Formats: sequence, structure tokens, C-alpha cells
Amino acid sequence: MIGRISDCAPEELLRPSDKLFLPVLDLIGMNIQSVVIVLPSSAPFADGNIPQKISLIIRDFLSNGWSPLLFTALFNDPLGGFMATPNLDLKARDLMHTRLVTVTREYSARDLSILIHTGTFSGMSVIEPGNLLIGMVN
Amino acid sequence: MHTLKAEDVMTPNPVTVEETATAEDIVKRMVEHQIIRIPVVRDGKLFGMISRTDLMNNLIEDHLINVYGG
Repeated sequence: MIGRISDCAPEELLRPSDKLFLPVLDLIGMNIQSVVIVLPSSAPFADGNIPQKISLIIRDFLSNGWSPLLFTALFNDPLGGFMATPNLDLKARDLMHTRLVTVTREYSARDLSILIHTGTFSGMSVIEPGNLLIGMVN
Repeated sequence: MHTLKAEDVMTPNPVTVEETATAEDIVKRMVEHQIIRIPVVRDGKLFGMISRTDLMNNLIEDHLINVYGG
């Protein structure tokens, strides 16, 4: 579920970060895993503090033990280019990494668990010959 | 005694995306299925992997990541 704070009044954004943090806390209570802040294009960026305030909010998230899946600040109008609008049109092939460690279906589950529990890997793809993906182990 | 193998503990038919899927599609899939990494496939063959970190690194400006990390 994606939470969206799109109705923040510009003046709200210029207050101390806790003012914006409170509605975000409400979203956490709703078990929302991702927050998108959409700043109104009329937001007064004159003081140049918006990115810093958003950064503070992200830091607050982490200090509260909440790991957002993705925290994106979308600017309808990135005045001055202070923060570029995230390019949500990027393709998977542009985002992915290809340094993969995979196992076959015959691989020992015990050895897999050692790799995962020692922190060597957090997840592993299971493939068949020919790179055919048949499963994931987490 | 039966020795467990990867096929016994894996999640079969994992959620995947094609290489042409957009970042927005990927985020939606991750949120919908509550996963933090998603395999990229081409014709069913493993082509790459996208993690939450990959998304963060590509979608958020460097200065935000600097603050985010410390």
C-alpha cells in the first residue's frame, strides 16, 4: 500500500519537520510501507529548506525503526532543480543488477540456510539449466 | 532421512517483472506483494535482480542518500 501526502499546504512544509512528521506517523499506523510526498507546485521554495526537511523526516523514520520501502519526494514543479523528480519511467533493465548468485533445485537447503543466516545472502534465486527461474528462497 | 533441498524450501513461481517494466510498476509490485527484491526475467529466464536499494539509488538524489545514510 502506498501512502500519499499530497494535500500538504505549502505553509505546512515550512514549519518544523515534526509538523509534517505527524501525518506520516498516521500512515505508519495504517501499515503503509511506502510514502510518496507530492509537493504542490505552488510550494514556496524560497528558503530552500524543503529537501533538508524531507531528509529529516526520513531520518526520523529510521530512528523509529521503520524502514520505508520507498520514500520518494515528487516535485510537481522542481523550481530551480533543487531536487530532480524521480524518473519513474526508468525500465527494469536500467535498475537491475546482474551480479547474481543462484542455486539449482538440488542444492542443499541446509547450506542455503547457512548462507542466508550468516548474512552472506538475504535471498537466492533457484534456477534450472538454461537460467529458467523456478523459485526464490528468502 | 530425507535431506531438504532448495526446491523443498523455495517459493515457487515467484513474482517477477519483465525487463521493460517501469520503476513505477516495480514499486507497485513490491508493495502489493510485500517483497523487497524482485527478479527480472526475459522469456522466463533470470536476467537480473532489483532490490529496494537499487530503486533507492536510482530514484533519489545523491544528497538525500547522503543524509539517509548518516
